[in-house]
Amino acid sequence: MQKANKTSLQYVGKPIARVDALDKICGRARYVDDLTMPGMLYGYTIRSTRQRAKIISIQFPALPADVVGVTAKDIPGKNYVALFNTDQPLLAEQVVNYIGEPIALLAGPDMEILKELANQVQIEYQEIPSIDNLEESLVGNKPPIFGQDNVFKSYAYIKGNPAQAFATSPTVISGTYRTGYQEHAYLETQGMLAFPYQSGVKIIGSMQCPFYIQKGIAPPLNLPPEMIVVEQAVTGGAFGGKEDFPSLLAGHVALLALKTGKPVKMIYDRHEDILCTTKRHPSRTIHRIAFDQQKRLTALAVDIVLDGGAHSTLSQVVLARSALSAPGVYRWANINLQARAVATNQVPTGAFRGFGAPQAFFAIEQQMNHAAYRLGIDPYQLRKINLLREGDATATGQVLKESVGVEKALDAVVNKTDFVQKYWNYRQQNSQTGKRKGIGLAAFFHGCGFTGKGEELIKATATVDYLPSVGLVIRIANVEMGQGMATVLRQVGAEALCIPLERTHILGPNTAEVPNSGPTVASRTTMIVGGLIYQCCLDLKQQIGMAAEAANFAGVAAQKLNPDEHISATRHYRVPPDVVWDEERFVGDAYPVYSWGAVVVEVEVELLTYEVTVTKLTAAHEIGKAINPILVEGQIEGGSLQGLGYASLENLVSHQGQLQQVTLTDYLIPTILDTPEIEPIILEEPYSLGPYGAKGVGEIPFVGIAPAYVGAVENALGTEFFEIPLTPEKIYRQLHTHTEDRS
Amino acid sequence: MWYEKIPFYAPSNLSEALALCQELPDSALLAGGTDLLVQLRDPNDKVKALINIAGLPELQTIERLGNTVRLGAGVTFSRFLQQGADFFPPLTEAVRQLASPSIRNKATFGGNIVNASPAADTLPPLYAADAVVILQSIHGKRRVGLADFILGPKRSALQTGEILIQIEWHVPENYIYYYRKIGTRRALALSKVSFCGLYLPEDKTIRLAYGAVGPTVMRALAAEARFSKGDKESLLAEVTEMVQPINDQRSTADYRRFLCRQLTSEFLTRIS
Repeated sequence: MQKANKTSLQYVGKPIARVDALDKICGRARYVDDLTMPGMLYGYTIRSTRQRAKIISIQFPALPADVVGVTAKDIPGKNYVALFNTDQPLLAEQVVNYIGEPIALLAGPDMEILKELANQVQIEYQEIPSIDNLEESLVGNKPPIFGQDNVFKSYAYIKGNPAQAFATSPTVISGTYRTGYQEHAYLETQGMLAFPYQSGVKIIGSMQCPFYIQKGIAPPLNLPPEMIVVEQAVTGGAFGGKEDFPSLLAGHVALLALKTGKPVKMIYDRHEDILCTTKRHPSRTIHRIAFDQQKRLTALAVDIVLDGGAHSTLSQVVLARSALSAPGVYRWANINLQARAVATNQVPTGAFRGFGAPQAFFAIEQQMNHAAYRLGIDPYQLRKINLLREGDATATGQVLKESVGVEKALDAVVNKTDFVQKYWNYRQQNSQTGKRKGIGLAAFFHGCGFTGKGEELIKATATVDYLPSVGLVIRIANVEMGQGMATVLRQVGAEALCIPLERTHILGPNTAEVPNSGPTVASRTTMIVGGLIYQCCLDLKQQIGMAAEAANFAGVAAQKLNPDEHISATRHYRVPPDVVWDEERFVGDAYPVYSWGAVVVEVEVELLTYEVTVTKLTAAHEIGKAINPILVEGQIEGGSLQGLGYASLENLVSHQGQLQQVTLTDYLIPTILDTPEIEPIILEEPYSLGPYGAKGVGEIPFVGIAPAYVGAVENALGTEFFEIPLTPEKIYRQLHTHTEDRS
Repeated sequence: MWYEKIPFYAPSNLSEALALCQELPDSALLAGGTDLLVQLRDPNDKVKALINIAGLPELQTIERLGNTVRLGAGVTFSRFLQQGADFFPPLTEAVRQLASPSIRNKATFGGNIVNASPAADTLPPLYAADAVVILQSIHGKRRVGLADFILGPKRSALQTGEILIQIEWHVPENYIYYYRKIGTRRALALSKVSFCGLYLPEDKTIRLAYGAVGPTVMRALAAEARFSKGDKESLLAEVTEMVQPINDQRSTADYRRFLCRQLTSEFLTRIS
């Protein structure tokens, strides 16, 4: 890819306002709940009230003529939602495996009547001993939910000779780390509308991945995928929560639409959405690291377990990212790694910004914070000694050839905050009243694009058309969900052709009209799809006989083409030939490239109540190139705050399969009053294959917040912590049940 | 929408409202609606009619005469912060931390009291002030001490046909106070614990009121009585014995008990 001359860029690198902002601010944007159709019915879901049970019988009450009820028996095809496996039924048939699992559906013209009828549906159950949590799942003394051993997926590898390295290293740091559920709390709850269309069905709704829905519900509907047309409505936030779950909901509305022959809309209220849509995987990580005399890391032993809930959904790929993130940003000669995702009788967990990496980085970065304390060195220096640098190989042997900005990021946040000085000053605090200050640090990466062979399997395709009368039309399956995709990719197109931004367009995602450029996930859209669009634009230039660098595309096109004559270019993503991943041995290039980050969190802890106030958050992210810096800052601020919520207050626990915080009164996320000053620092080490050097930024701002936060509380209180969310209740419990105080 | 199916009455004055209240025993009074409209979504709710008392002129009193404060039950929190913020600072602090600006614009003192939540934000300062509520029906008025009026979670001594019309209390002379609300976040959070301590230097007594650690807001009368003995530790032990916190979706019993002790201790330190 051509290296663009920085000074000549007109659109890329400019803080252009979001192209979708005005419609959203003015209330003109039409979300799925705003859509109605003649004769449209509402749909309602009847859910399991049991954690694990056999379904003996399902008895509907007498239904009015305009109400239709369906169960698994009404599914025309195979009863599963297709993803990696086939274990998730569209509707539970013989057994239920979590509270909230869908069993039956109703459609009718009046929602209130549907709810009353739903209350009268009689379901007879026979209880089966349920598996409550990941520990119980591993014990294996109850009938397995998945396979023979409850393990959805496991990865394991040994590198070097870890046993010998641990035996001969003078310092070994151990810990068991736990992380909790997290709810996405997107502003717009899940919703979907379906109606009979041509000889199949059309689905419109809130989603990240139109083609996942098409593929996912073709087996149960018994339709060829192309007869299922999926279109994205304006989507009010997703964060991963609308990656796989919408396939289940789309299957429900499609089933009702085909059964009734009418449009059917289903919108979850907040309670239903929290109760039964996916969450971030809870985790337990048993971790050991060893150091030599020079404080160099010598060995890593890590055992990660993720709670995948009742069905496998995306757990295997979430787990792969956990396993690949587990070694952190450090060099290792000896590793013993095991990672498992296990089944429990809980709501299925799935994709959530960071996708398995936050759990892994919490463990490794807390280990580094604890190691620094015990080795009597500051956490910055300890990281510097061990950091990956350009030319080094990752844990899986991937040689980092370019765009390795972690040291830059680390230096930036440390210098900006005077980290080292404050760290040692705060260590001297011994007041027993009032407030203590603390400062914490974390360094991390996020692999851009799909893990391993993912991009190779998806073979993302993008098409662009150019008509002199219209301008550039970009055809992709990626969605705008509030992150700024529509603005950023138009900036890439406008820049590549040197045409005004207003002369660029993105066709709304509709599986009948756009090629499959892959899902809008994995921090891949700007880098992978933006890269394809850039290449397509160069192809257009070539088609009208222009050099790649030449500027006057519109002028030349106007001469060579009639106003309504169009030219077109299509590109398929090809994994660079030097990127090789061996899934079986877990060796090689796990991602085409990585974004890198470091964050410093500063806190005050009130000793009277153990309430923690974050006073400042400084985050540096090296992302290759910020196509739109103000949107990148928005990602950094939003991801950081979401990370603080995860680390400190978003408490979501299940008791006997029943989530305890199922309203936004009880499941609390930070408000603006809980938001500290956040200082974003954007760093750019261009990636040669990214559009204008760009890598990904959607997820990395979240990834390292938790260990920096907990590290800051530790620095203030002189105590080690191992679990998030680190609430005042947990600080109290730890300080008042453990007498040893390390300060 | 669901609420359009509930008959809605809009009396123009208090006597009309009282008459309706008597006539419609299964009705609910609608003032700010910030709790009621959430509760009505429960399909098991039996409310058959809504009587709108928001803005009724007889419920808008907001005055301090000498040491006596009178607040109409229909006074919203926003209006109180504009017009009564200097009446009784511990209450003002509680109201400032209550919910969010939009809720404070609608929600009323009367509603916060009759909703009878153990975590109601206005209650600890009003319990500490020994506030009295004035109830009216077509048969007349009666005065009840606030602590006697509230019987348990969501339960009060309000009788069919009665409307809570006013809250009244005496502001002590030269008092010192300490108020804290501990919530999960800084706005829009229900209390894990709330505490109001008053020190009355004239008679050298204290009053201690705790929210969210029992079925109602609690006054620690036995602990208050120990104040004159000067034994801080036994007073604090009395408090931690008295409170009845639970583990729930918001916090844990042991942390809440710890907070009661800590906040009381801080109050005692500040007045010593």
